[in-house]
Amino acid sequence: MTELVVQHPLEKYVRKPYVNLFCPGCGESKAVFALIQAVDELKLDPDKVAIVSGVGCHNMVRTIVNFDTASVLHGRALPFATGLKLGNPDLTVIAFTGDGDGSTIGGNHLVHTARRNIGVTHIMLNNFLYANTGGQLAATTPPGASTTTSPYGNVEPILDACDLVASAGASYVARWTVNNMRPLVNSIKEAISKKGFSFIECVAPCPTFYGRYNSMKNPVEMMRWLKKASIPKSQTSQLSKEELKDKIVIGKFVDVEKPEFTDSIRKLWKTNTK
Amino acid sequence: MNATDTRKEHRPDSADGGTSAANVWHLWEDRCKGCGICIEFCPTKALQFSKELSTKGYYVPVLEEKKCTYCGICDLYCPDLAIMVVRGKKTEKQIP
Amino acid sequence: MTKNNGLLSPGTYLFAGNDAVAEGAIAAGCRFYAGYPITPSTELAERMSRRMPEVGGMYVQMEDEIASMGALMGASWTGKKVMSATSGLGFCLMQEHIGFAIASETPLVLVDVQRCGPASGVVAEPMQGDVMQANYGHNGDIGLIALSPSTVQESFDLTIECFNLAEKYRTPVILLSDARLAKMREKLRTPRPEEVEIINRTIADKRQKQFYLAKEGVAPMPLFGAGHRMVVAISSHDEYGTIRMNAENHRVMVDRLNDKLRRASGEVTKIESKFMDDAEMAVLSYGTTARGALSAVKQARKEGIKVGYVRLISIWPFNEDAIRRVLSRARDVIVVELNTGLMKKEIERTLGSDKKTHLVWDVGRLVPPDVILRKIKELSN
Repeated sequence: MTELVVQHPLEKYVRKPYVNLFCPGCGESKAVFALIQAVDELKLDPDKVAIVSGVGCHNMVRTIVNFDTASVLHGRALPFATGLKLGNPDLTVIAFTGDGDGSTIGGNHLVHTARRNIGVTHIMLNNFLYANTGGQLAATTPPGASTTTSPYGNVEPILDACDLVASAGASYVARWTVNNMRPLVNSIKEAISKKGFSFIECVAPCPTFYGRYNSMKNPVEMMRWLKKASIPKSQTSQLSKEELKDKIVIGKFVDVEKPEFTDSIRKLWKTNTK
Repeated sequence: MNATDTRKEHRPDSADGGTSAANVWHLWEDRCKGCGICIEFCPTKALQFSKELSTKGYYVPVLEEKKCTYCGICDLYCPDLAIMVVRGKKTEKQIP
Repeated sequence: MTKNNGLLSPGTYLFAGNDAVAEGAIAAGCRFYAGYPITPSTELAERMSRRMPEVGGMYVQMEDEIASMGALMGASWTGKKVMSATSGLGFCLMQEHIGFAIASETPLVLVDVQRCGPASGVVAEPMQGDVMQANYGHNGDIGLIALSPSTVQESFDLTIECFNLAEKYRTPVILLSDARLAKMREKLRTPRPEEVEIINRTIADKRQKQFYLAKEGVAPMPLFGAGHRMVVAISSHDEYGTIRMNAENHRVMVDRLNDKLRRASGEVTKIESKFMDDAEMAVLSYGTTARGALSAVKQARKEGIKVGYVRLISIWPFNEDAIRRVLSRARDVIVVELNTGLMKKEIERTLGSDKKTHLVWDVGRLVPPDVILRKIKELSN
């Protein structure tokens, strides 16, 4: 009797041996597999996929996905991704960061990389705080939330990263949660296929820190909260600003065709140099 | 790490005794961290926590086959690649 | 002037220091520049923005120096020879990435056109205040290679040397220029392409797995997109790039990186000396300061004082043995520099108590030869 070796279809993109050090129920872990699912469904050449990740829990993507990966300085994934894309435009460059890394310390680079509209896909995992270092406040922490550096509740207003990136000029901006895995995977596919800068904010809850500090005892409770708090963009017109305050608006916000940075440069240089 | 070590495989009953079944539900028990998301999201409530701890020390999902529609949501939502749902076609590799 | 694939035709030109560095980089094969303008390095960026398209390269102005370094790192890992230019303040911002480049063994060239500091200081006047920062500015204790030109010709030639060393040893290399050298115009003789020795990095082939921390030599460098599925990481790692967060492995990493630099030191060390055979005293300097020092030494010799001239062309790695050897005869060493004694302290420490080390210094302007001559005469009595 021949022995069957059973393997999950996505395992061909996973480093061997497969080790997953994310916490039980971590939203970011789901996002890693959403990324792999999207790469698989797009049938991309895995040799040409380059992942650039910053510092944070999301950085564990480097031990899971079997693509060329750069694990770079905190907040500096987008400049490195820019360098990769400019150096070798054939690469499919995906910046995979957390919310603190991508929009707080990395905020400046986020604005300008989006403004340049360079052909890089940025998947920003949002768990509302700096989880890897124990759960500190970030720009994306909701007002009133408890973190280790806001023990009396967060006084600062929340940063809407999608709004910021859309204003800066990205070609594609969307927000999904790990509750909407199918739309998330589809969105990642769209984002990668888009020529210019694509930004996906993926709300990926942290049960270990954000959940525990804010009265959500386990991953299931966090997912239930996420389900209740999410609202598709199409339904927001009926709600007032007050009602929208604690909601997470999901959907595709921007999907336009715009000149991509490397294309613009090459076109310009062709006409201006001998 | 051999993937066959701790897999739990469920195939629905069929006339040929289950060797050429179309739908499959696999669990890699040593990958499961007992987060409970699959149990929460199963639309037919076909999954329950096990009564006993796995070798890794977690309560893992146990499938009630009759209720399973092989929709694949538990596969898609598992953060640890611990569940595989195959619907309608074989994907197992045979090694000699 | 820009025929033959955009390269500068061989000939003699009147060039400013900044422009000479840019052309040297192009001659060395630099085809990627990511930078941020900062006085007094801006002309370099401006020239590169015009020249990179002419030679089929890429120029991008990033939002700050940190982003510039990030872009350089990314481009270097796709195989490009990369460069950026900055001054003291920008250099401070780049330190984190310099540490990253050292740890991940990424070749890149950085030009620091030094100006008065700390902080903004005097924007367009020279100082040699970054000589220590070049080696010690990043966290951790592995150094790098730094060269210091003192003429416009050297600005061109040493830039090519910087690229060759960066490629050969897979390390960041700093060119320590200054505000005066950057703007002064002098004769520059550009060579024919066949006269220029170019060294390129060894690229890893598909079968290789050890990308870092070679025991001997330098590990071949893998490139993104070639199918290696590799990891470039900021964290402590082993030869395969696997991250290892423990003391034992970190010690191996620190040891090997240090060792690589020590092995490079033999080739990198460049010290120019004149009139040292019978010298009882020596004047040691580097960069543009050396020009005044040479004038002073020549004048002193005319007046019969047995003084020699030593110029450090390579600043890092600091080669104690070579320095002791070149200064072996001198009883007194006068270090002339545009800071309050950064190199003087190193020389003093190296020579020990057998010799006396003195300092002649200024900031914001080159030290005139007669000031140095006065010190020479004071010590010779």
